[in-house]
Amino acid sequence: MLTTDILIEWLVKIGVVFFILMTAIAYVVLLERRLLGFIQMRLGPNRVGPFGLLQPLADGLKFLFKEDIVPLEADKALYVLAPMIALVPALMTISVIPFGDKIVILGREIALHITSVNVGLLVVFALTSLGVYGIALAGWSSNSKYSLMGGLRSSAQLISYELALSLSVVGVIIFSGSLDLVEVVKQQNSFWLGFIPKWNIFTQPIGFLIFLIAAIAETNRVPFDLPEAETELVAGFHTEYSSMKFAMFFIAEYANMVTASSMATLLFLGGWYGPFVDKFPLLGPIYFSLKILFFLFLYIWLRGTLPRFRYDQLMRFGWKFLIPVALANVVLVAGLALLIY
Amino acid sequence: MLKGIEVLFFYLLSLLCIFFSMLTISARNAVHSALFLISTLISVAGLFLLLHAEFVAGVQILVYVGGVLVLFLFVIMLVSSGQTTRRIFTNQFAIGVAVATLLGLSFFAAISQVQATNYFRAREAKQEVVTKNTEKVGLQLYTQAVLPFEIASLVLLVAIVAAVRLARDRKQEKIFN
Repeated sequence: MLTTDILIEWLVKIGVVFFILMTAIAYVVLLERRLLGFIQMRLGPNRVGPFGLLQPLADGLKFLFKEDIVPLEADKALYVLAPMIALVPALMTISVIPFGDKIVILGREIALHITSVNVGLLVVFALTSLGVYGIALAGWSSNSKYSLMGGLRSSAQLISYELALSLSVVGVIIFSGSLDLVEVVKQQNSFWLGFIPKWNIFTQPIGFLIFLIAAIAETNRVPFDLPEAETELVAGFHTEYSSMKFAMFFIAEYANMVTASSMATLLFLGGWYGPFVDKFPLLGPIYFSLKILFFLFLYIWLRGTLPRFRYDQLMRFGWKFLIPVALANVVLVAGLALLIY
Repeated sequence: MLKGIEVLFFYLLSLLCIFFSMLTISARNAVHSALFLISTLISVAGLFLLLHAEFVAGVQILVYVGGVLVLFLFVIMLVSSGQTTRRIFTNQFAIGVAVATLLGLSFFAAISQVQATNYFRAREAKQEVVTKNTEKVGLQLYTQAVLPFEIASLVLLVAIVAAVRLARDRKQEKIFN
């Protein structure tokens, strides 16, 4: 069953996807700094290399050579483990995300995903929900008031918004009848009246908005970045972290952003589908990347525009608005599914 | 039966499971204890995967690890200031050993009867219909098991209402409204 060429194919795929993901993360950071600069009427980092393109490299080197500090009273084992717990699930999620249909390279038919699981959607949610432990434990093990507050906020926030996130996806599952991400995308591959694509965003816009809001909350980004609120908590859960350990939290945050963007694309924007993708399957990953880029841009745009929620506003919004609306949306979509199919 | 590398994974995961659950009850620090419990639950999810029950494994991690234990950790972090307890909880060592031995023996007896039959038969039967697992769970839940399912939700609802009632007295009720 497990022959050498399948093994090689796997290893090559894992290597390529990992390389692309890490490069993408590095350049999303640069994109964020430059875009925020433009939003705030300044230039952003543009000195290292042309247009500042070598800035991520310089940042990486700087992280490597910084002093690695462990606080004296910290729980040392957990303090070291926490960044790893945050990073590993964040990177693992990419393994079940399909970014294109099958393509043929060197006479081999290659499916454009690392692995296909029949409950892919569940795997993504399970893995992303593990990431919170990294943040919560970082906060606790640092033995600092600010860190602990950040960790506590993060765990409370995750529990509150995870429900809305899962409920918003139920509508998509009702339409596709499958938890397999490839099936979810393939169900969106046709047109109404010949030109409107059958993307889920058009049939369940409320579900899409709930997913987007909850996903931003889950990734701890503005306006939901209470775990690291720098105006109140110094830097929140990573106050005591420095050097590569801090960088690992940073990478995990951006990896989670990429995952959330690709999930939004797969579930609501028709994944890799776009014009002429049937004739040239290689266009698939390009459309997919463009759609992800749109969501990443949205993340940065929001960060440049919105103020942070207050803690009680966050809780009230999550429990008293988002979850009831998500529940109503499930009923609505179920009715719609009966009408259409 | 389990073959090849699966045997290795089965014993590895089972050993990890037992090891972590022992650490869960013997850890001095409440946060460490919660973390060992999380590790136990993840090992159990691995065992579910070996049974080709991907849905159950996913739900196990999503609900228990990603939900219930985050709440545990939240409460532990909120109330304890990270001190470790060095107190011995009980002095009834002899009774403890006796009860543990009896319990262990009865578990062993129960498992040795079931093991060869149900566990592996269920596993073999599922291999042909792997993709339909989730659907089957759903169908069972909403046809045969619909009454216990609804009763369980009702019990949970009552528990939630009771918890809120206990936690808030009338004075607080006025403040919040």
